[in-house]
Amino acid sequence: MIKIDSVSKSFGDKLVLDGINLTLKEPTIYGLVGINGSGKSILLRIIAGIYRPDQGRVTIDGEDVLQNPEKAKSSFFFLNDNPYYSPLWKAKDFVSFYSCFYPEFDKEELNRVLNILELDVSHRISTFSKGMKRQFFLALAFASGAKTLLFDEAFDGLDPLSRLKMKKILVEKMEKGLTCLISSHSLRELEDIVDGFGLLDGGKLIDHKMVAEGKAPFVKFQLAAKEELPEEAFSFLHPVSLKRNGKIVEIVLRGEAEEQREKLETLHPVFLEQVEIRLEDLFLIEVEKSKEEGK
Amino acid sequence: MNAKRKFYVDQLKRILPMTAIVLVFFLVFHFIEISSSDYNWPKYGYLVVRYVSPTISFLTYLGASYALLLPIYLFSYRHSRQKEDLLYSLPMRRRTLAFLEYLVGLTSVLICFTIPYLFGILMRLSVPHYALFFGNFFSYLPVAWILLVLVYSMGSVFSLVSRSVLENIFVLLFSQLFFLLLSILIDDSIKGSFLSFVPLTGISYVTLIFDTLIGHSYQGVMASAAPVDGPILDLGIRPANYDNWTFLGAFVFLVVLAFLIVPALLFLVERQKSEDTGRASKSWLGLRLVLPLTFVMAMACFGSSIGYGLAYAEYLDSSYHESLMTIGVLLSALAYLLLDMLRRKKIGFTWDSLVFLLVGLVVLSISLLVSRQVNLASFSDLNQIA
Repeated sequence: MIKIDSVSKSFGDKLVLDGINLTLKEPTIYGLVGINGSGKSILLRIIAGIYRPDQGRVTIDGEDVLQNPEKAKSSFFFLNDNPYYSPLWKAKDFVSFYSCFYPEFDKEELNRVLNILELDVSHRISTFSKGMKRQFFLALAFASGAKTLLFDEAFDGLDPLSRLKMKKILVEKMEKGLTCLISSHSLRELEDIVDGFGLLDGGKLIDHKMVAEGKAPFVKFQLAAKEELPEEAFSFLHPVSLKRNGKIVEIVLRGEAEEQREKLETLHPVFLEQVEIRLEDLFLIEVEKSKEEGK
Repeated sequence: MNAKRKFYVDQLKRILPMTAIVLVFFLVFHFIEISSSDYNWPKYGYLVVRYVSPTISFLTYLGASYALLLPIYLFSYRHSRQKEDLLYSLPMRRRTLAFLEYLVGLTSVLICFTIPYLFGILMRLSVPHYALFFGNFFSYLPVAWILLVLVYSMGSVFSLVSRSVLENIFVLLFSQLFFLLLSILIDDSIKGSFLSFVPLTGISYVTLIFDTLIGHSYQGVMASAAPVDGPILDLGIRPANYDNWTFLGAFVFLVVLAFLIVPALLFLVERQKSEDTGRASKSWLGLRLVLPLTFVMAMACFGSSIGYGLAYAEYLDSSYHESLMTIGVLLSALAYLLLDMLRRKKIGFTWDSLVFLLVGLVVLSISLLVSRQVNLASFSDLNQIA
């Protein structure tokens, strides 16, 4: 279990994390989402014990990550957005390196994942493309035997097929008891795998909920009108979000689907359809809400 | 094998290619050194050895250089966010990690020194009629080891306190120049061997500590406590000159000094902020004081060296040493002011350039004051060689 307790961090005068509280019980895949500079990577580094928080603490299975790093850190594997590798290292060098620290490092599992990814690791890692490197590091993380994986922008640079394979492996691992905390600036990238998500904005965790719970209060519709409708035409619905592209409108509303559909019918659309609300919509809504509250 | 031992062995294997290259390089140089000094090989070879190594073996200088430079590579995780992310997220305490890296480097440094040194003894043994005093050679070995530990420990501290490779090189240069200038100013013996004080050789500490601090004949500050005829390194080479208790006392003192740096280093590691890694220091002390001080010291040392070079070549009188040092410092300060104006495309002084000028003048005043307190070098030994 990862417990983040009132963690704050400043760089000079700038407060980058402001009293973050979060508890993750395993097994789960949790998405940490935020725009660039929202503090995702810093929070992950604090969890990994790389940065010291100015206030608060992080415990993993009850062990403080700074006070007792040997015990706390042996249960997780941290992969940053741009992992280090020596230009001379080959796959076997990584295996030898990580085996020093992760006694349960499983070479067979590494080979299995590499086979799924169809990745040839007989050459030096420096000769790999960005995506291949990313796949290799993810494979190392899966083989490390760590109970918790901390991934910073894990799928960045992967092609759609590799991304799909990786997600499949991740879900399969989660079903076997693994917990993964994964950060991304794109909720769309995570929405098909995460159980829960937290939205980081301005150093605060502005929303933290499980996916189903997060989506529940909202409905999203797509409609097309005969003529372009002004924004004011929708004001009686108090839209949470409204996107207009000529005659096509995408609107997110709070409340029951049927009730909102009836209200929208009053605008006499030529086409009206309820579409699935995406986590990205929720993210944008929360960011907007947070900005308004800030004003 | 536990994680720590496994990591140590793994890291040792990783720097094995570098150790092998350095070892071969040292073997070749030690071979040349012995050949040129013992067999009366070409005269220039003898002169190089004489200048570069007035009191201790050239191999020790090479070892000290390696001991100073190796920590830049070993502690490079302090200079790269990527590498630090990898190492600091591993289940190991920071001080354990730093200590293991320290031990890996120390092993490499000692191997690279000891094997060529023993090879040198074998080489000398192979020469017919060569009178080898085993006692001399083996008594020098622990002295050299401690010296290397001392230099390596200081190099490690420099690497750990700096945030980037550039800053590391800068701190290294600063420390070398500082000890060099101090040595030039307070120790007469150093003035006669200017070529040996090329920055980065680590000799500044060596001479300062051994000759100045302990050496009796060079009026070191501990002279009264160490009633011996010559510097401690001479003791290592010529055991007949010392009494055992003095040697032991000095040796223990250096051992304690060398190993005191290690806990200080580990203390530093635990308190460093990881978020500063890779970011150049922007502190007032770092940019506005240390930078001009380094330039000024470099120019002072350079001026002094040129002064002695010219004096040795009998182009100048030795008293020109001070003048050249002064010119060096003033030129560096003026060059900085000029460059600053060119950069800003504006005539006039900034705070930075004024601090630079002020630092130059302070260093110069101290240099001149101290120079007048000590006797200028005697060149009789140089003339003898010539």
